[in-house]
Amino acid sequence: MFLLTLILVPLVAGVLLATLGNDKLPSQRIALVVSIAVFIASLGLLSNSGLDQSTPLNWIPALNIHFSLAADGLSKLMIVLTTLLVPFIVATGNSQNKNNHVLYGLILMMQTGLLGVFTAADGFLFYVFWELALIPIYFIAAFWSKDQNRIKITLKFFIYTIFGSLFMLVAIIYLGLKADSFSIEAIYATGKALPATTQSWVFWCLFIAFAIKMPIFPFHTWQPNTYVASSTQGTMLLSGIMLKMGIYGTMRWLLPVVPMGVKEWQTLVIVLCVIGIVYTSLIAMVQTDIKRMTAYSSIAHVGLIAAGIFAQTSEGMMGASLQMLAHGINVVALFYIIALIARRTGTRTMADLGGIAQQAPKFATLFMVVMLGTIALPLTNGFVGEFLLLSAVFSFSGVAMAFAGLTIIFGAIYMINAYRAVMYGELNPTSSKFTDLTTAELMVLAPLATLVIVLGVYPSPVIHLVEPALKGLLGV
Amino acid sequence: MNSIILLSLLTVINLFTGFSKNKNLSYLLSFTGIAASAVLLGILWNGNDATNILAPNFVNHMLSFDNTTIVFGVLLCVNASLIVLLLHSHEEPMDVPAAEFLTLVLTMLVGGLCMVSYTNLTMLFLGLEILSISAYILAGAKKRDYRSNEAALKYYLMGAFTTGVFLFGVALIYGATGSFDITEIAKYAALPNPQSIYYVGIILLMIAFAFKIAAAPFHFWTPDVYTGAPTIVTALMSTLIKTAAIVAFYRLFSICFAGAANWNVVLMIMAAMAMFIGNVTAVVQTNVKRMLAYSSIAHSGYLLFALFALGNNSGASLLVYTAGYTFASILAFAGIIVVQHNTNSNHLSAFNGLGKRNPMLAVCITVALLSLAGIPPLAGFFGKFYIFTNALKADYIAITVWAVLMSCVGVYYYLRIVINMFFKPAEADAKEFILPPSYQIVMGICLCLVVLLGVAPGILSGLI
Repeated sequence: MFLLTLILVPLVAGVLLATLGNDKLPSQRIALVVSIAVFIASLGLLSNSGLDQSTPLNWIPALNIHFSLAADGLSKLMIVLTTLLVPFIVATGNSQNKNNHVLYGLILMMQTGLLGVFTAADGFLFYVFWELALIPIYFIAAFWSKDQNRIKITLKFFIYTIFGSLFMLVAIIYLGLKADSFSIEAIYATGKALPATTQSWVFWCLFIAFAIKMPIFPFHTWQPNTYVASSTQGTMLLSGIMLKMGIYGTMRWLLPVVPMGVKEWQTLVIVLCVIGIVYTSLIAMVQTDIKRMTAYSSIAHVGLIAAGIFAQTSEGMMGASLQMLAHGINVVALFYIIALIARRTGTRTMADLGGIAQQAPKFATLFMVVMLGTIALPLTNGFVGEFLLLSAVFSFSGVAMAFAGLTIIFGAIYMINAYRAVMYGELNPTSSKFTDLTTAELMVLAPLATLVIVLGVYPSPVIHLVEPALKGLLGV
Repeated sequence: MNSIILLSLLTVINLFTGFSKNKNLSYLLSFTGIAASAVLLGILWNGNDATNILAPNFVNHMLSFDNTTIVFGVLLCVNASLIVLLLHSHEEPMDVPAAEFLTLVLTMLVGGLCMVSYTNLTMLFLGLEILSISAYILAGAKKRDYRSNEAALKYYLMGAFTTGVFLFGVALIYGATGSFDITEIAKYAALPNPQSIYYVGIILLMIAFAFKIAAAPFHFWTPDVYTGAPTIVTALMSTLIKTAAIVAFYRLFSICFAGAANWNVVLMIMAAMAMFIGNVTAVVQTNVKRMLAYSSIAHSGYLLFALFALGNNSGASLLVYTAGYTFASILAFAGIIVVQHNTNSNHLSAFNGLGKRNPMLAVCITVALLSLAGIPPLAGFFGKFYIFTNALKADYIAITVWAVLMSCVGVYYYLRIVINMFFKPAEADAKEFILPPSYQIVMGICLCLVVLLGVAPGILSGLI
């Protein structure tokens, strides 16, 4: 029942806030309190790395569909990542916006969708939560954005993801019918027993949904524009948590379900990932808009995670888990920093900025930490994960690893370059009035930067948490 | 049977209430009548004793009230009562007095009830005609409106022609089987080597039904009639008539022709075409009523899934789909009526800024459209889910993938309305929309049902 409560609390709070709230209500504070409470409650899950389950409710008896939730180590990691990041995302916003109660209501509703995806132990339930997360983010990204092309861009995003997930629905229905139950164990058992050709098309139906969500090259075309056009909170939700739905989906609902299908297409997928890594890194290097650059860098990072997963080794899975956590923290911090810069200077073009470090030393330090985490310097949270992922890709193919390894070099180039352009150099007129962090801003950025270091120095609790779960997924 | 008798009597009485000054009288009468007939249907639940042919559930080998019939009958009653409620504070100028309008709604319901409960093709024909003729008149309810006239005439001419086709089909089947009774026909269908006129008969019946549910390639009347008819009549046509016709269609095929699977390919092609034509054409529409007309064609395509993928769950899947579709459609049409009344337009741009002018209305319309698009966890999604499940169970993989692609197209045009409501600014002089009380009630009920059937679809699918 604990899991069920954890998932339903944000939904109830969100619906109440959105429908009954008004502009006079301190909606942001309410959402913050709720999300922090959920975070603290979710820490209770970490007491063990075993499997926590909620009693399955018989949802649609005719088709053997249950409302059943379960959380093993991997799910718990994702739950805590979600509940950890949501308070920061809530805190990012402006407290005086119009219709704030709807915005924060939607963010809380989305949290339910995300938590549901990470805990669903029934294929059908997984799909429902998968889509449940999409509706709020569409409105968050589109309605609170100031971009001119937001309508077109977010519509493309919506249709693109729906397109993928409908194929996933077909695959899930197919598997559920074969298994005569939608429970994850039954789907695992049935999926494994399917003939190779069937596994092959089931693989594609599932893979398209996950690949679009992550996104993997060449399914990424919706992503840069959406990240750039969305409101900051929308971008944070999308990049920090939502893309993890795709990675988590691959780990939980693709690899163990159709192992033969995965084996057959493994090479192609890893090649696609590596192409994506190199291609998007190169694009990131020539960007002038720092937000767009971060969007492309995110595709490169996710490409590496996906490649590591598809190598199907325990290092790859472990690396992916660590990197999901790290990437979530880093990217949310980065987008927060970008929004902060844009709010103060009115621009995100790197050439127009410069010399901020002299004006804002605290900001410069924290930005530096986050930046180093993003380029995976040793002793930051990005390092362990990226190292394991690369070693997993190496075990698959040395050539692939050589190209995938470029992401570290390229990443260092464009991130350090961006940092230099924005923070150092001559003081630009646009950044001359840049004031250092306020206490409220410090409260957001400092914990995130601390996590970058702490998880980099001492990742072993995370490793212990997910290890048993990953063994189960790999069938070791 | 009692419900049909009650409603038939009411239609006559209702006409006379037109003489009364009190307008509410005929509304009250119709509403309670429909509610009572729903109750009368409900008490027959589980009463279908196949051994006792004299039981009230069997009426002279003409009608039979099994559980499937009763559920769909009650659905039709709920559908009609919601429309009657909407009519009560309807402000669209009509040239037909309220009492007559309501009478026609009641006759439609009588026709619909016959269509879901027939066991004899003559009864089916009677039901179809009672339903259709009322619909022809209602389509032309705005006598002085050019488009409404066009709609009525088009609908009537095409409908009359289809009736001919239908009768011809019945005649051929009678020629082959020697009976109008569907159980007798089913016995003939099970025999080896039926005559060719029997197949021709089935094809003709299929054409007639495809016309009634507006499935491609017999959909050409739909856009004009849906657009021209008064919006509330459009709501009736796309819900009540469609439900009654598809259930009649399903009843005929599941009982009579379940033995031979020759028509499956034909039905599949019709479904594929309907989904394609409906969804793709809807994308380029700028008139919302016309867009929903095409979307209605697309939904017919999904409904046809229940026919070619016949199985144990087909009835349940049809029920979940039609119920979800009915409530979402009524919700959407009620919203359109309000917008139309306030802006005098059905153009997409009439919806601009609705999110600001009346947020609750905009949310209602959004939920309705998302349900029609099949987004979980709303009723429309479960309809699609059941239908796809049945199709995959019968190994119809290609057409399911096709349907999935087409619903993706559907998401696009439904979202366009949502975008207009929330992201486009309203005109400068826009005033706030006011929802008449009965609209608030109906939209509240529909909203709850769309969400409830989405969260707990088992309550419906478990019934049959």
